[in-house]
Amino acid sequence: MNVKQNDHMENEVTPESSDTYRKTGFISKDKKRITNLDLIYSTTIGVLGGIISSLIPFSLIIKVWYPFLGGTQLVSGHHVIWASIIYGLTKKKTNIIITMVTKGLLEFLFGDPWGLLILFVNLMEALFLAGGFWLMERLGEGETKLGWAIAGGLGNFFQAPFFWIINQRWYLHWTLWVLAFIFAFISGILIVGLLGRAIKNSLIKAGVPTTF
Amino acid sequence: METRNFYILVTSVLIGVIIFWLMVIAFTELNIDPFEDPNKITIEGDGTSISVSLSVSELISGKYDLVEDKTYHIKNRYDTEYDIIYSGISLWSIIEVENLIIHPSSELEFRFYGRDGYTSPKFLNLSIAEINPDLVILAYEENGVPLLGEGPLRSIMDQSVMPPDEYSSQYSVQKLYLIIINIV
Repeated sequence: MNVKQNDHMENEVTPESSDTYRKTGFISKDKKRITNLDLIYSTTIGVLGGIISSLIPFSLIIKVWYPFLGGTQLVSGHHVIWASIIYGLTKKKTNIIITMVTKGLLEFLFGDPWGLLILFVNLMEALFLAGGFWLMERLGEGETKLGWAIAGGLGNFFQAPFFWIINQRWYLHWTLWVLAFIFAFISGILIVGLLGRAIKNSLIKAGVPTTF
Repeated sequence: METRNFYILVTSVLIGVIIFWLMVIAFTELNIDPFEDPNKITIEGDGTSISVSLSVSELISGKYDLVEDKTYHIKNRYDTEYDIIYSGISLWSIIEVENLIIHPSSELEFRFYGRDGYTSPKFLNLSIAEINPDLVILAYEENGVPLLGEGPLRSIMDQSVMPPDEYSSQYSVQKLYLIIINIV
């Protein structure tokens, strides 16, 4: 017993190499742990997204050239871009959910016609985006443009069928259904994935601290 | 070019081609001109003497009867009833001022068409609009706010003028661009 204790003490006093040391501060914690900076980023960006999603009618841009229902899906990615930016800065999927829930709450408080359902929609988008990033990381595309594009596409896609089914738009021509879903996916690719990645890179280059 | 990039390019081109043809089918099947002025509405059909196209600014110029801030009772097919305040132009006053019909209204029927491909479920007898000129309107404002996403015009019919088993919400056609008036 004594021998073992002595061995243990000896190991602590004389490290094997100069790189072995005890980490202190927040980096000593589990890397998945949410930091204050994560929460500040998530809520700030969530509030920003909530205000912009509620008050700025981006869909009007599309109606100039595409009058049919479903065309506005081409700009629908702006609702989810905040979640991809936050993931780029923090690399934590929990932050995607915090950001989108914050955004959903803001939209609800701004009087979204969907009421509390908008919170569920935001949560759904967050889960699918997180799932998209998880899948891309497993496929080795976690940091590539392709990976971000597909993850963004998946994140933005599933709200479209959800809304169209809830709205019972059965009366619309089948091409409008297919086009709306394709537009939703493309918007996810371009706005959530590629634009989100570009903004994330610019923010990091500008010196915004990351938490991963 | 790397094989991976080649595949991405091929997939993108393929999706582009699919979208192009789907849009061609949508535009031709729904018979909508994408370059048409969205601020205009056309009234035509075999029940009208002429086809007339009017812009929103012409409609609200005072030439036709305006109905301002009137509460409309709407009912949907789930039997949910609610009230909304609309401002708009009386459909009957447009027909009267433009001298659009030569037959009695009871021998004519009308239907609303939206630019998004939606049409009101059935043709309704035009006498409804004649008897209730304030309750069948082309709305341009909802609660004092111009109809942006749903407009610029939306057909509105009060539930009190609807035939039995018809719901006013289904005749509230957003992005209204065409009204067909036919002989019954």
